[in-house]
Amino acid sequence: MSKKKIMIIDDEDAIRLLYREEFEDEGYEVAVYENGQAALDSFEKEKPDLVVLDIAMPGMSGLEVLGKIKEISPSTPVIMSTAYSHYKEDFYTWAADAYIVKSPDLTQLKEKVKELLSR
Amino acid sequence: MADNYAKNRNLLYEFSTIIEREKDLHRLYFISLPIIMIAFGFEKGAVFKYSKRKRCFDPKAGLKKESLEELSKKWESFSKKGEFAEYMLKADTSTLYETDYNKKIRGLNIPCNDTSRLIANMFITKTDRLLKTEKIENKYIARVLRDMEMENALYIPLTAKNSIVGFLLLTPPDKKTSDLKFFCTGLGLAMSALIEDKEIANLKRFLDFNEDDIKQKQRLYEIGKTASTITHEIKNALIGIMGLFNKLKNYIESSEKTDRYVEIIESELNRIYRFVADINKFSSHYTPTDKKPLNLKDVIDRAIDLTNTINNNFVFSVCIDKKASTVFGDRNQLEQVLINLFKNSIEAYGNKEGGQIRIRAKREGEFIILKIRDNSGGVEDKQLKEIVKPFYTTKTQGTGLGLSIVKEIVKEHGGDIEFKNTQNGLECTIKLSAPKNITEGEYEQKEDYDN
Repeated sequence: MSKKKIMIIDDEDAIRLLYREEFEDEGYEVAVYENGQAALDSFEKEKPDLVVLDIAMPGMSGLEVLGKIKEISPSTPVIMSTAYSHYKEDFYTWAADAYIVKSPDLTQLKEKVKELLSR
Repeated sequence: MADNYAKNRNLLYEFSTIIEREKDLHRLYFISLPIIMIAFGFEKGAVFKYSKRKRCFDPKAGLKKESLEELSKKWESFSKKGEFAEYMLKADTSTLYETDYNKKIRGLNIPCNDTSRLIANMFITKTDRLLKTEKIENKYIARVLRDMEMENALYIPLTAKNSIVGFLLLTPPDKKTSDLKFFCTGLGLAMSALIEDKEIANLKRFLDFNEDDIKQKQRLYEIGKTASTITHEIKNALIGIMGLFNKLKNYIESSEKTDRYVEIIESELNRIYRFVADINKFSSHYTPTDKKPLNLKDVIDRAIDLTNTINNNFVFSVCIDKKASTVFGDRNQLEQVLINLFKNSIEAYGNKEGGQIRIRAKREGEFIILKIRDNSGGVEDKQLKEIVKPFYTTKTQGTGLGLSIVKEIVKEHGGDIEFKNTQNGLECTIKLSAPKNITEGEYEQKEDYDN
C-alpha cells in the first residue's frame, strides 16, 4: 500500500518542522507549505490525501484557502488547526472536516488524521 | 412557460412586500414556505431555522395539503397588486401546518456537525444539491424526509453574507428553477436582518446598566483584544518550541545535571503555556458549543472526580432536589465552572485536614439554583465584588482569571453568579437554566436520540 500524503499549511517554521517529523514518523508522506497561495499552486501536483490548515496566516487566510481547496477537490478532508478556538463559530470553518485547537501534544491531531484517512 | 414566469414575477413582488413588512421571524418563515411552494409547484416542503443559541437547526415542516391548495386558490383569486401579501401578513400561521407531524419532529434539533458541513460546502462551492433519502448520511434529515415521504428533495441553504440562517427541503426536485434563488436569497437576508435586530435588542438590554459598567466592559474588550493577539503569537511559538523540545530530549545524555535542566525547562514551559492558554480562553469569545439537557449529578460527580486528582483531602457532600436533576448547558463548560470553584476553595483552605464543600441544587421556576458552600473562612466583604473581576487575585500564583471565566460561562448560559460570606466560608450561588419542554427524567430518552 502506498503512503498517504498529508499537506501541511502553516506560517510558523517550528510548527512545520514539528508536524513534518511527527507525521513522517507515523509513516505518512508529508508536504509542507508556508502560505496558502503556494499550497494551492501545487495542489494538483501534490494530490494530498488530507490537508492540515492553519487559519491565521499572513496573505491568504486559512478560511479562504479552505474554500478554494473545497472547490478544487471537495472530497479531500481538511483539518483546520489554530491556536484559537473561537473560529469554530465562523461559518466558513464549518466546511472543514475537523477543527483542532493547536497544542504541543499532537495526539488529538494524529487521531483525527487517522480517523479521516480511514473513512 | 412564459405564463408561469410572469406569474412568478408577480408572486415575487408579493413576497418582497412580505419580507419587507413582516417583523416576526417565526411568522416570516412560516408564511414564506407556502409562497415558495406555490410559486414553483412544490408539493412538500420543510424549513429549518438555525438557532445560534442551541447551535442546531429547528425544523418546521409538513404544510397541510389543504392549506396549500387553499392558499393557491386565494392567490389565483386576487387581482390587485399587493392583495395577496396583505392577506398573508394577516394569515393565521398556526393553522397552516400539520400539527401532528410537527409534534413528532418538535425537539428534533438537528446538530450542526454534518448538516452544517454540507451547507457550508454548498455555500462555498456555490452548488445546489439534491438529496435522496437512502443517500443521506445525516440521520436527522433522513428521518424528516422519510416521515414526510419525500424520496428526493432539493436542499437549499438560506444564507446572508457569511452567516447561515437555515435551509429548505423541497420536493419534487425537478421543479428547480433559477428564479427560486431570488426567493431564497430574499428570505435568507430578511431572516438574518430580523435575527440581527433581535440580537441588538438583546445586547441593549444586556448593556442596560450604569455607564461605569459600560466603560469597564469596553476597557475589558480592548484588553481582551490585545491580549488575544499577543497570546496567539506566544502560544503559536510555544507549541513549536515545546514539540521540538520533546524531540530534543531524546538526544540529551541523561545525567543528574541534564535531567534537572530538562525538568526545569519543561515545567517552566508548561507554566507559560498554561498561563497563556488561560488568558487566551478568557479573551476569546465564549459560546457554549454543545448545550443540551444534562444530568446535573453526573456533571457534579465528574468535576469532583477531577478535583480529587489534585487534592483528595476535601470532603464533598452533594444534595440534589429531584426537580433539579436536569440542567440545560454545555457539559465541559459547566464542569470547568465547578472545577474552578472547587479549586479556589481548596487553595483558600490550604493544606490542612477538614476541608468541606457542600453542594445543594434545587429548582425555582425556569431555573436551577446551585449553592456551593465551603469552610475556607471566606473573603473580606469588600472583596466579594472584586473576585469575579479579571486579573484580580488573592493568590501568589495564578492569572486571576479563574472566576471571571466562571462568570462569563455562567452568563453565556443565561444565568447568574453571586458570592456571599457565611459563618465560616464562602457561598457561591449559581443560577442556571432548567431545560424547557423536558420534564424530569426525560432527558435520557432525548439524549438517546443524539446517539
